Amino acid sequence: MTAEGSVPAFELPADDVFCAGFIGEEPDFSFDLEAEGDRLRVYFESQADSTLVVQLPDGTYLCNDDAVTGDNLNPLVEIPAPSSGRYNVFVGRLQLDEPITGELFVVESSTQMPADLDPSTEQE
Amino acid sequence: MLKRLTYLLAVLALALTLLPAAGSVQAQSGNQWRMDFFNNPDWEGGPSLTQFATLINFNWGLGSPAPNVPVDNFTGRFTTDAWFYAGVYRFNILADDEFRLLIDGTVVFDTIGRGQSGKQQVFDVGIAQGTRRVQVDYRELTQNAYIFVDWQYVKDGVVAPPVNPPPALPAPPTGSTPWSQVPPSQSSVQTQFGDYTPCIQQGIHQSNCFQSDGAWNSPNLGSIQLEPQIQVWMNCEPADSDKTWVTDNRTNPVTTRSYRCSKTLAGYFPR
Repeated sequence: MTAEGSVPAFELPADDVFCAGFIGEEPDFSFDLEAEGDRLRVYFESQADSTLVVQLPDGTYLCNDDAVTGDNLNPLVEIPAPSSGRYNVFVGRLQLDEPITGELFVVESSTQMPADLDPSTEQE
Repeated sequence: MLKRLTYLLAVLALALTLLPAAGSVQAQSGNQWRMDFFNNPDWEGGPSLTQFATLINFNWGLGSPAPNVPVDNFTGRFTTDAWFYAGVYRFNILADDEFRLLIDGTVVFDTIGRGQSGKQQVFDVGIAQGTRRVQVDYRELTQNAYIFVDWQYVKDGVVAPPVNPPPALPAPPTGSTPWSQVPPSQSSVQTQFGDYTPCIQQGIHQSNCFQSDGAWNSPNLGSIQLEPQIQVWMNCEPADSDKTWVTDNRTNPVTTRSYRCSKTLAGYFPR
């Protein structure tokens, strides 16, 4: 999967935070959840600093920049008590210079984390 | 039972949904920000542009705030005096390229020179109750330029760190203006556009207490939000528009502030 969008994620009406990064006009990935669950995690692993935006079935957005601020630059969105319906996932990049290629994961877990991307080892 | 979802994706999935057009949700509002822009990367000299806004919520893209400000290597200094209850506030700031946040002159967060361009910055700050001078220094280096600033009250009952008082405001001009000591504020003000008493008690902007009377020519909330905050809740007369009151807070150093009777959508008040 490659993040190469140029739509400012910060113009999305997300609660509590300004979503970071630039995303595509269409989702990078969509999936349908058939039944409600306890917890869902969406994360992206790459060697560059990326962001994630997830649109929930009710149309609202969740977003994340770093799974662990200052320690892991790979993004992670946690969805507590996910409802059934369609989820749209957008992978973002902080700068428009270069696309970011990596792998997207959707897991039913409350502990699984993306691989560490240390700020000091991030690709320029 | 929830079907287990574990996907390892190497290619883009097709999807149908387009993003809706929308603006960012703002929790913090009602403040009047002064925005000074400088045509250099170090906030040096006098500002080349001064604007006022009620929110710091700007995306200049590859451009700049105005034609007389360069698209790269410009800086901005945004200041407001905002009311806070004692407690912890969660700040959300997103900027490309850099910013520093000061409260009452003390730096509380700084991304200058730290390679954090475009990174989502969320952090908590303990603040003592009162009106605080909030200052955001913004620096645009190259390419995209944007900054979004917001804060929310997240916790009470927390002992806030000591903060320095804001720098004294400039003394009022001298001359033939008839000065007089400002009288105490009224504790309650009722108008056709609502009960302003809560705004007096909480020291917050009058727009928070505005209620439309439903008439076709009722002022709109946006107009009130652009008014400077009423500082002295004391009805005055239009005939007093050339009269000036001065506060003397007996602080050290003594600070003074002048007010003139002027029309607001809530009536005539010194401000």
